[in-house]
Amino acid sequence: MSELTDLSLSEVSDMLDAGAVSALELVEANLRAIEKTEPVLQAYASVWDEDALEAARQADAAIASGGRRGPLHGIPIGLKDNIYTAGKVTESGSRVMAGFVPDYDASCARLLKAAGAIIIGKTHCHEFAYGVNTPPSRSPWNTEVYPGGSSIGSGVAVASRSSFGALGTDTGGSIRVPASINNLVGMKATYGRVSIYGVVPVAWSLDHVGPMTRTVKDNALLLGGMAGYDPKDPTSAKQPVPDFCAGLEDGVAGLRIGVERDYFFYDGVIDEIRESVEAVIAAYQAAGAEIVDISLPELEITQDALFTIVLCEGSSYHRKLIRAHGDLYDPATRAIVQLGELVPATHYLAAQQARALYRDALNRAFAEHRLDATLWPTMPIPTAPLDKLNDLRADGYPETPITSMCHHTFNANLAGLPALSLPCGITEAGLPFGFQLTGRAFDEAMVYRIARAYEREHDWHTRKADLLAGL
Amino acid sequence: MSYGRASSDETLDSDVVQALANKMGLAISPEEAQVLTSLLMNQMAAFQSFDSFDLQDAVPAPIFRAKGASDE
Repeated sequence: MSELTDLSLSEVSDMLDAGAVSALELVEANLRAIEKTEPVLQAYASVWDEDALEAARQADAAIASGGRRGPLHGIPIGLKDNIYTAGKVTESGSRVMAGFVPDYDASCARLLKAAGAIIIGKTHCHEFAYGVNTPPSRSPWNTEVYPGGSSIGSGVAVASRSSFGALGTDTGGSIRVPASINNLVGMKATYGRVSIYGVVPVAWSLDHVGPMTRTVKDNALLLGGMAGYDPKDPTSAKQPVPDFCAGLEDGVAGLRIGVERDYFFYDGVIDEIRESVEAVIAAYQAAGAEIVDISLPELEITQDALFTIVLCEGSSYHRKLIRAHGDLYDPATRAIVQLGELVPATHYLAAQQARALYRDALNRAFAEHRLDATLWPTMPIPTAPLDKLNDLRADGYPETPITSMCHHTFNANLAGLPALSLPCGITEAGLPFGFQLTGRAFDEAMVYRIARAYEREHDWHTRKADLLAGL
Repeated sequence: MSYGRASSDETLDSDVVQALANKMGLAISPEEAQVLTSLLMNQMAAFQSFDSFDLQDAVPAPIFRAKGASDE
């Protein structure tokens, strides 16, 4: 494996600035990594080798003549295949969209291209990002376990060093879950921070687009390249976009971090994760942060509220497609889409009421306790064998692995607040896991600052799957 | 998510679900109707969890804003 691909996005960006590497060399290194890893790991739905090479030559020429446009200029990245790309196949993991070629770029893709990023390919996702079928991607950490979804290929691509960063989408945890499983940093920014125009929807009021990277700074750079108001997206927020990297090294002294224990440290959290996240909390305390216990009983309704909203909004999007092409859906996806049509409107509205109740409770906790962020595990378990996702957990806890894996992430989509997963451990079985920081609305910079304070003192994010050495 | 939830004791006739779905234009086989019936019962059970909170004054937000209604 090329050493170049082991460097972080920000490191190769600095090298581009210094003239120590070219965009062409970066793309070629990524393509070599793809050639080695794809037969086993299958992160990509499509690889844009010729387009990426040509874009790299153009980037190098532009940099030589006028300097770099910014930190993403000349950097190869991957996009989840539910993000529209003009003139390039976008299938959203479904036979329903087989061969579909959009005639415009999603706003996030347009902005990243304008910033000079080079799209190296589109990554696999669960069908329509529902998370119920089984895409071909496998985790480099263990090819027998669930690599996380629905941004499954994006997680695998970044973890396997075949991309310096990738975009995922997150309706209930689909960035943070694969980030945790693949030892990555994954950020779902505030709802409205990144345009969802041109992204195949799961549920309009919950959908987010965000970056998956190997470091906090990489993540902040990518978010900076795609954040901002978009008049084409009615959910887009008119909020100024700060430099997300500006306060990264400011530390946590004097900051206040909320911890809720009844829900997020319930008995379903395995000991290795519980102990590691407690150690994270202790590390923040030692670094000068104040840890504040908070109570959020409304969390109990977040899973049912989110699932009800996903069912109804998702089925609304699929109403015509399911009738015209029902036979092309994976049976598991089809059942979920059909189910949504049978849920009463009163359930949908009650779910939106429950959501408002939780959002207000969480925002109130931030205000009353003067919190800068909250902290809990990203997931109660690291992952589970691919063929056991819907069985009861092997450790005897009365829950299915897929239910456990969603337990800690839905709430941030309901609240719309920025939430980030950061690596904080690897189990004895060799499976990575992370913890989750949630911030105030539109204060992603604070979430990055707090995350970076931990990352700076710990090396979990530098760990690499052993499998990659043999490919 | 509700995929793993145990069903409630109350039963729902899959023939009714299939008839309703077909009336709505969804082509569903008897086998699919059984799966759908089970999922629908789970969903109905999930809805009951909302009863433990007073939602009467909570305003549903079809147009959602992260900071609340004052966020512009």
